[in-house]
Amino acid sequence: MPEKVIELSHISVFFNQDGQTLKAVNDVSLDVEKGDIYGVVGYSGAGKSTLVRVINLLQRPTAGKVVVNGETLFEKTEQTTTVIDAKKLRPKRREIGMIFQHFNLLDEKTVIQNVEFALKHRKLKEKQITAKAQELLELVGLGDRGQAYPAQLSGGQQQRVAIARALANDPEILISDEATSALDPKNTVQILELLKRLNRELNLTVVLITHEMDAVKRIANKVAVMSEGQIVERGTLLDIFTNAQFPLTKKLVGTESDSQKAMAILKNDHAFDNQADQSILHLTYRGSSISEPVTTKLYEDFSVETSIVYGNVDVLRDTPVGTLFVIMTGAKNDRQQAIQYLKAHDVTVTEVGLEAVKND
Amino acid sequence: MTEWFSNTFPNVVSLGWSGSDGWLAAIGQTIYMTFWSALFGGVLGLLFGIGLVLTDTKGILENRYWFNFFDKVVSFFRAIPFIILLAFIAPVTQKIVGTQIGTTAALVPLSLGVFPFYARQVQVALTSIDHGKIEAAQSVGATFGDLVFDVYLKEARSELVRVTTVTLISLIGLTAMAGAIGAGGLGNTAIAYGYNRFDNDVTVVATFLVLIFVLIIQVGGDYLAKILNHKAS
Ligand SMILES: Nc1ncnc2c1ncn2[C@@H]1O[C@H](COP(=O)(O)OP(=O)(O)OP(=O)(O)O)[C@@H](O)[C@H]1O
Ligand SMILES: [Mg+2]
Repeated sequence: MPEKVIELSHISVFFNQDGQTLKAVNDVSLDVEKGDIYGVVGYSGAGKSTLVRVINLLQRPTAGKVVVNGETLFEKTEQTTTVIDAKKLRPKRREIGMIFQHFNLLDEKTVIQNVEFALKHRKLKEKQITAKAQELLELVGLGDRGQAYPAQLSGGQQQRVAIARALANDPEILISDEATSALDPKNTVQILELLKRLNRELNLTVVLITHEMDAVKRIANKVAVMSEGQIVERGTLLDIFTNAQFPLTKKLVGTESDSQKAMAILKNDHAFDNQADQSILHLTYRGSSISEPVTTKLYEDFSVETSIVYGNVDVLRDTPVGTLFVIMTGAKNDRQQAIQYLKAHDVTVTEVGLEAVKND
Repeated sequence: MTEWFSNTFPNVVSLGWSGSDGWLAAIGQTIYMTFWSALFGGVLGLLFGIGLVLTDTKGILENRYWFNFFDKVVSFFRAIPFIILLAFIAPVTQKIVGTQIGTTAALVPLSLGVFPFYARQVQVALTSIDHGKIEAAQSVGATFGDLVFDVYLKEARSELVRVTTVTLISLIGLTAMAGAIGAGGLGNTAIAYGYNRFDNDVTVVATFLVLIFVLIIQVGGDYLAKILNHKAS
């Protein structure tokens, strides 16, 4: 049973704005387990930042319970409010590293001083602090830039300094709030790969807030989708990408655009003549389990013909995940057997309603 | 050269270099008043400026009552024209310094006159710091002292130098008025020995000396602000 490092229960955060209550986060519960890279996605204003800032109490919730590494930082019930006191909160915060969209480095400190700043309250000698800071800079590949000022570094390098600072106190958790949103694609990939490496090598738990689906696809193992202050869908990365239920999720992960493209092709092309012996299937599969041989196999074993209408391959955390829209032609019974066969081979099969094609 | 000078500025020369009415005394008084009132008023202004920012909404010590207190005190003293402040706080001056007139007595109104101005300037300088820096510091467990000294004051240091420069220059302006309570200084020389006696040459030279002061402060301040700034432009 994996250990839960973050437990948010029934968290609400309300803001008062000109007499109106804005429900930035509305009764959200979220558990993050050790070693997770938990992606939190959603459009701007969904409440992602507000939710994760609750984890280290940069944002105090209006209601709910916050437990980090088994210790309750905040709990508000109808009767009582318990908040960890400031003296204990500070060391607790050091167990939770955080990086931000705009890096938030101190401009008047050198790179190494920025990292040393995080180590200030460790009971270490000045020399040891410098050595530790240097070690961290080397970890993020900036060992030779310690004496530079942040303004002299590129965005990607600044974010790496911020990561070194966030890791200074050997936290078990790293919260990344849109940490790659201000970076170009190349730097984005580098930062994401760094996070993945830290996750693997230090068993660092990462909470990754982003509105870039590509970031999630690349490194997350779990995903929560937020909309209007609530988590509307959550699951493993594969689940979310292959089996999204909520319209927003489909839109975010691109299932929607896949199926729109497939439908467009079907409407224009007359490959599908809407016969009783045909069905349209949406197949999702991991790895390269489906390919020509499978179509051949389906034909040979079940005497159904499968023609591919649309196909797309995504890479989720190094695993290719394919999406296929196919037309299957054959006797009803044969088709059902073929579908059973696919399902038994780890292919998710969804039958697409005919009305989707016929309409308009 | 000397002859040309004593011909062109006869009254400047007759005021003399030393002596209680002399130029040396006037220059010394201006420096004395500027230095000490900058120190007292500066410390007070800095404290109020920091207080305003920390207790403001979103500040790390957010507190409406304290904010209002700082805000009202600063606004009150800012609203009083300096020349009236001189008279207005004379009894307080008497208590603190033991006399209401003279150079040292002028330090009380000068400090009180400059502190609200400086407090506002400091407030603006510190407010310009991105709140994200505060949060990042908090996320690594920064203490109150870390936030004030390493984040607020250090990050705004170049801005603080700049506003200090502006404040010092306006303080020199205030010292000129302190002549009204017998504080002496270059401003007093320009008015009492120059303007009032129709000795324009004295006024011109006194003004010139004040300008040199201002220039030194401005150039020095700009230089310091520049070397202390490492922010991306
Ligand atoms: N301190 C605050 N006071 C008032 N309203 C706030 C505050 N912080 C956030 N909000 C509001 O709460 C809502 C959620 O904001 P939040 O920053 O959590 O969204 P987000 O999902 O992180 O968006 P983005 O992708 O743009 O960062 C927004 O409507 C925002 O305006
Ligand atoms: Mg956000």
